[in-house]
Amino acid sequence: MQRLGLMLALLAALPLGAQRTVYDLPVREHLFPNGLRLLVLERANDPRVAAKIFTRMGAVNEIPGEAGAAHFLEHLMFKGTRTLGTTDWASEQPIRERIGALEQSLIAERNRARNDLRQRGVFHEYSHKQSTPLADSLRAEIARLEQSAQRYREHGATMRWYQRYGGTYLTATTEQEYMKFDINLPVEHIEVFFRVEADRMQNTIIREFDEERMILVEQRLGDLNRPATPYAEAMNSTVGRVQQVFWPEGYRTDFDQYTRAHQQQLYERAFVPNNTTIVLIGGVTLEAMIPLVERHFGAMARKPEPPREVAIEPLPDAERRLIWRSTELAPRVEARFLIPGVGHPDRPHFDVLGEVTQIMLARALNAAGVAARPSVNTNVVHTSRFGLPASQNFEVVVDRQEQLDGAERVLLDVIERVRSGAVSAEDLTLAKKRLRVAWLRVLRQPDVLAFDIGHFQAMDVWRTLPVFMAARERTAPDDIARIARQHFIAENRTIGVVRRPDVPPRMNDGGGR
Amino acid sequence: MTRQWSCCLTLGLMLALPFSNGRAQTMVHPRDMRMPSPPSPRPDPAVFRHQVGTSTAYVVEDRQAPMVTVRAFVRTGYGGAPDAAVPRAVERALRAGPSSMAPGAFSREVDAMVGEWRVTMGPEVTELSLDVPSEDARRAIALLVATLRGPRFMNVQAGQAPSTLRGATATGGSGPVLYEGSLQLAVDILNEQLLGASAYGGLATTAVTAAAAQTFHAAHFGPSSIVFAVAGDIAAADARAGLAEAVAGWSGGQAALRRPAVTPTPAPARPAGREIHLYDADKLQGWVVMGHTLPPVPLQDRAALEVMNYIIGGGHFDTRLFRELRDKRGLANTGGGYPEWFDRGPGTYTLRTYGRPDVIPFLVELTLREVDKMRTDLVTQDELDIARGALADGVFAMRYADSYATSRSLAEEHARNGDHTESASYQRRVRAVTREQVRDVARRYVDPERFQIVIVGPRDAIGKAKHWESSKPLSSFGRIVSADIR
Repeated sequence: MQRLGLMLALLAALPLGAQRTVYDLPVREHLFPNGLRLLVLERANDPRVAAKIFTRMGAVNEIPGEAGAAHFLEHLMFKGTRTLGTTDWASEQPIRERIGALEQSLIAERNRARNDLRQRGVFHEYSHKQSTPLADSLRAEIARLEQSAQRYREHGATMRWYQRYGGTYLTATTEQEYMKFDINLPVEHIEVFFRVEADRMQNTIIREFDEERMILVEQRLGDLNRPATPYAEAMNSTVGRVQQVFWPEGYRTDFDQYTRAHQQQLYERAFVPNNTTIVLIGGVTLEAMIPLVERHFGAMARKPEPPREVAIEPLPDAERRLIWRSTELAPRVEARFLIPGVGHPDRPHFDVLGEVTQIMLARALNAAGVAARPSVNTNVVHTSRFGLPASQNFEVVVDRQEQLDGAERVLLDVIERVRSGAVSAEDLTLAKKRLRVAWLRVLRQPDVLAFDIGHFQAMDVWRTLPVFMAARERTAPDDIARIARQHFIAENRTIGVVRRPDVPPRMNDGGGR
Repeated sequence: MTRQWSCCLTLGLMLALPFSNGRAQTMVHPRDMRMPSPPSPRPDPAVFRHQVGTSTAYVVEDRQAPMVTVRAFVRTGYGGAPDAAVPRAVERALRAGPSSMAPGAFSREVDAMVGEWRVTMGPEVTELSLDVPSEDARRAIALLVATLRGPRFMNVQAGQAPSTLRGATATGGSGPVLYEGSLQLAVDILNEQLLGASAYGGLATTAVTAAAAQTFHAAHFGPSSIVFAVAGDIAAADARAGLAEAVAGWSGGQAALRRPAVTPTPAPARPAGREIHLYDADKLQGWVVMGHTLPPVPLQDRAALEVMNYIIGGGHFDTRLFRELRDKRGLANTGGGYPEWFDRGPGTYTLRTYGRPDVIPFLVELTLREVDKMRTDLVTQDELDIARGALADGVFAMRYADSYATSRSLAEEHARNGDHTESASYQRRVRAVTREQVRDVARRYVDPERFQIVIVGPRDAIGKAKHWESSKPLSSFGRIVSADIR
């Protein structure tokens, strides 16, 4: 609250004028007795509604060994409920119960078998022993039961009705601090959103668990097909030591550890009305939506508030340097620094700092004759804003490896100039214009704007969003220098370098001749 | 024993919890929900249409944010010449901005506006767009039209043109490596197999002089061959005045107004039947793209063909392919179908999926199986209802969901067809599609025996793969032709 107050004070200091109005967000809010929050941005003439439901849960709720479990839960929440996705729940239910019981036996057998494997190597095979006669037979029985349950399955049922009623942009996302389900519907059909999502929130049934686990494998392989992925993961784990923000969405070894029981626990703990926010933007009114939401979500009882404590990153205390050798990834050098999360009054200034540094960096590289593409961003895994400390990344991808040293010198020199306050008014104006125009493009797109509103609610509170955007207009050169001096210190710096592997010379090559 | 009881208790609680809410709640099945039908999403085009000299413009005001998007649709593309290389050279010139500005000045000005500049050439229509803050709207209109009138022509060396197999291989910082294992490579290879002999394939491998590109431009680019779209925070009168000023004194483009003869659809590359083109790539997954050419589709068949494709693979999360490949079996992240037809030349019908090497032959088998089913069996009434609703109230409605989409859709349709009769009847035509019509268009337009199948991935692993659910090797789906990417 104190942080919000500071930011509101910043906003109050804005001059009145045209620029200020683009940051006004006339969001209307209603809090239901069970804690469910409804946010509506009314756009009277819009024929459609961008609708999203956010739950505060994500990678920050995961435990070591089960990274990606929150993302997996999102997949499982597409498998239907006891009212959608089954032709006969009464007949299917005993099969599901039997599968659950067998999984408990499987967990017990895996625990027992853990000590059967005494020689645990460094690089492979130091997890549980995966196969025992009992474990194999339990798995086979679970697979057989899953197959027998298929006779009652109605696949795709949670998606189909959105599509039938004109739903588009149907998707779901799980990141570090939120899970969301989205749809864009004609105004006349918005009730189907409440029907499907209230059901998903209360009645999800875990089905095709092992098949869906293989989809995670597919997505993981897809990620690894991009040469930048393993490098980015190595950088993230060098920048952050304990905070889950820096974890990837699970390794394949994590996928093997998932259990239905743990997924069910995650589901039940997080999907409670007092941990949920609905965001609507379009041709609807708050007054019209309240009774509809009440009809579908009103019966849900408030539940214990899920804990939001997360791991606290230790103070950075040493400069780190990662050398990554790759034949596939273009050579690059980058510097990353931990910066505060959304909600901290300085966080908007980092957006401006990032834009202005990118402008300066491009110019400096050009002047130094380094053919390179700079990028300043705050990306960690798939997200760029967090309610927790994360990193600001200053990246330079060079055309030729021989330019790496020069690029690093330029990069560090530009950061030093930013620290010393050498930011020109012209660059600052252009940086602010870029940020303002990016925000205007968001305003035009209800689906993107609804995401931002919900994301800010998940990270902090939604009211921070307009304040945050407006505060960037007020960033002064002194603010940039101050935050750069505070945060861009050697102890908080991680340097990453990508270069080609060294190739040992042949005996008859070069100097040997 | 205590632990066992504890496990059972936990399990019992877990199963019981979802049903233990404070109040009972009745869930009406979505099928039975009574909700009003949305009105037709498409506005009357005449409300937004303006005549600017010999050009047509659609202007839709929008005060949501102080931004403006200016677009132009030109009635020509890379299918407009016997060799696609010449129009592609014009595309390249358009991307570089107007020749009246010093080299680099155009991109600097766009950067200063924080504008987004895009040029997209298809076989029959070319689209240019510039999105800027409204304070720069008049300047954006002037820049876009100046580019249309006199783009920065240059000589193009063989293989330099954009969006070709060779071109894409040669570009991008980390592009070559990524491209070798990508869907785009597989799509490009298939297109080359199917349309390589036709300008509609878009391949541009020959050298083009600036003079040749200029000649094509003079014949096809003129105010009467262009339809403009302006949307955003600008008064219609201002937009019209800006366009009028920019196009003043400009003529030409008459060649684009003549409807050229239909380019014949190439004969199947290999009349002997289905072949599998297996390209080796050192990747963890393989891409599968299969399909054949598609002739121009008459209006009376289009709605049924869209419905057919929506059911098999065009409907995102709930399609037959999605259910079979992903939901039931966990084989692939996704799979889909993509019909692309044109008015005056050949298009393609393709199906795409990807997965780990050991499931690739089974992905091919399942995809072909679903295509066969579309041709032999009637779809269910539920499938038909869902596809019709999704296309009429979803996909089509999104084309008019806001001012920007509306102006774009109206202008593009006018550029393609010269009128709006197709969109006027779209919802009626889609809602009238029957189960029999779906099967009929599947039989007439999709022939799996003619498919060329391109697979890009780890060749050896794919070649040896077998799935427990099927013992069919890859070779049972067609003759395997192994090839190197280059």
